[in-house]
Amino acid sequence: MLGTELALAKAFVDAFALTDVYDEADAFARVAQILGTLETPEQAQLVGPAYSRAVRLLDADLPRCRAAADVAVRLDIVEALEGLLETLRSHADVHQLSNAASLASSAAAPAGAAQDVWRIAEGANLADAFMRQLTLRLSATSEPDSDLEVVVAAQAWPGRANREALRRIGPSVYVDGDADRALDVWKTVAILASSGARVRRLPPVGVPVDPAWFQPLFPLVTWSGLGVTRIKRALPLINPRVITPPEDLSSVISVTRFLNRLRRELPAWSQLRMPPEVSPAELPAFSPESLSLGGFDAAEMSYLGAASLSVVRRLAQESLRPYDSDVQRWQFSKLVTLRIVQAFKGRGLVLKTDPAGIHSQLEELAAASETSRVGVDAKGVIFVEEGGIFTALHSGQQAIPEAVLIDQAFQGFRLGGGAVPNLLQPGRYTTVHPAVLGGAPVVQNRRLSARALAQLMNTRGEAVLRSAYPELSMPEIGDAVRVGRGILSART
Amino acid sequence: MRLLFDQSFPAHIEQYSEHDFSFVRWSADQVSDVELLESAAAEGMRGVVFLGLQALADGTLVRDAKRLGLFVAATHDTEPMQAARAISTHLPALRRAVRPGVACHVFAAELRILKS
Repeated sequence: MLGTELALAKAFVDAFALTDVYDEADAFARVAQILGTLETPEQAQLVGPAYSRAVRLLDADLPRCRAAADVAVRLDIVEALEGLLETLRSHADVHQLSNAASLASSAAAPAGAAQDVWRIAEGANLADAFMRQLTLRLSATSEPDSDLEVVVAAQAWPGRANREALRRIGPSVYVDGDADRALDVWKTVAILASSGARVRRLPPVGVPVDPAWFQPLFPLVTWSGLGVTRIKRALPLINPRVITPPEDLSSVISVTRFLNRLRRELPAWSQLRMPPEVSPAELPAFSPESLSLGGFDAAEMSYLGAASLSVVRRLAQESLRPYDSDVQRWQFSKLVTLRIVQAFKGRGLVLKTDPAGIHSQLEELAAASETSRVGVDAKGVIFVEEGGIFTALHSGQQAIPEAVLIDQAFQGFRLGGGAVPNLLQPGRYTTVHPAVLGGAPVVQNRRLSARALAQLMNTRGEAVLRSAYPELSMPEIGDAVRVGRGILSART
Repeated sequence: MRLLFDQSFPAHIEQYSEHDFSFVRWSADQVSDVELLESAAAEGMRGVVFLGLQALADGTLVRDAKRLGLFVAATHDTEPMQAARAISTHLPALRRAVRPGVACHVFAAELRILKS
């Protein structure tokens, strides 16, 4: 349990004590893991003081104490400065003085911290080269005059807003968050730092943002509009690139999606590493990533989209164009759009907007559906459920108009006297996922095309089919053949 | 060298193996199309053959195969026995085509290399 400052400090100490002295990456991963597993806001508020305490506890083991300070700089744990200065007062170590200088130059560092570092350095009778390095880190006006000095200067806060310097040290991400958000902030910091980002936390509320500190090339992660307001107060002409993290920071898919959004906001020359890849088959079928997958042909569009072939072909000329007119194949997003259009018909409603309009908003719909139910009305307006009330995504208008929920378009429904199959599970043992076999219906948990089984059944009969696929049970064969025949007999 | 055939091919596709050119049919759990390629690469196979052109339709898998240094092919026929026959008919051509990054379509009458 990490419920007390001492317990959390010991966990941080263990992160360094239990790893190879020279394996800072391993220690860093352990610290990030601790931050990622914090459970309560109270625990999260103890991170700064506990880390400072851990630095003091590690003082007797200089290599590990150095590693702890390095990690503090990387994660922007400015609070560690207090413990670090305490260790420096007993013995001045140049490596630790550099780390202290980096932390002291943070906008969030306590007043007078930079002077404290200077006093210790001057009293230690250090070489001129090292004093120059400290100057670069602590003085906002000193100009670097070599490649190495450019990098050293970039390690200071403010970051000089020097594009060339920032280019040398990898992507930076600003993180906003007041004390109430401590849990989210530290979890986000751990995710960002694990992806290779240099984290810069906004100074606490009440401490103005230094205009030289903010580099508009890099995005701001924020949970409210306050961070943007504070930056605009310092830099009125700048519109920061803003990203709101997902509510669920424990889901690999949410985190991957969050990092993907960040990647789009970062300059091409400064990119994040992605976490271990999420299996495409594990992605929710209705997600921005899955929507771009698939290669459904006209017969599959007709069967799964609950439309006749002639309707599919007409829409292909108008609003739901195939991604390649030669091969006539559609991505999953087009199939979902067709389902939404047909679900309106199934409910006796008329869609008064071009399906292309819905299609263009599908990614937004998919992202919104993470936490709530989403619907589309006949005019193509998107509604998101909040507290049982449907609110228009863009206008904020509260209404519960004649709408089709996306869930309803995925479920089976009735249309024209016939039953439309569930989109993702058209049969009891048959499933659809756009990342598997280009989205073709398959026997569940296998890569066996239902259409191929139906073709074989039609041409060779059951005995040949069973001998060709000995791993299948009869119910699986029967179900897949039924679905496959549905595709083969797509109506004109 | 070994080629991985997707599970939609009939089990007897492995019997078309020749000396130095063997076929393995996927029989493990469901994985995505990309993961099938990655599994083949991890197992040291030279390429993957899909039943039907669908999997290669949007070009993503062809790019992934290039990235992984794999050969990738898809049969024009989606009827499993006819697709298997097309493979057996073009074994010599298939053997010659298997090179990293190459993609081809297997028709009943010919094997056509896709332009990169």
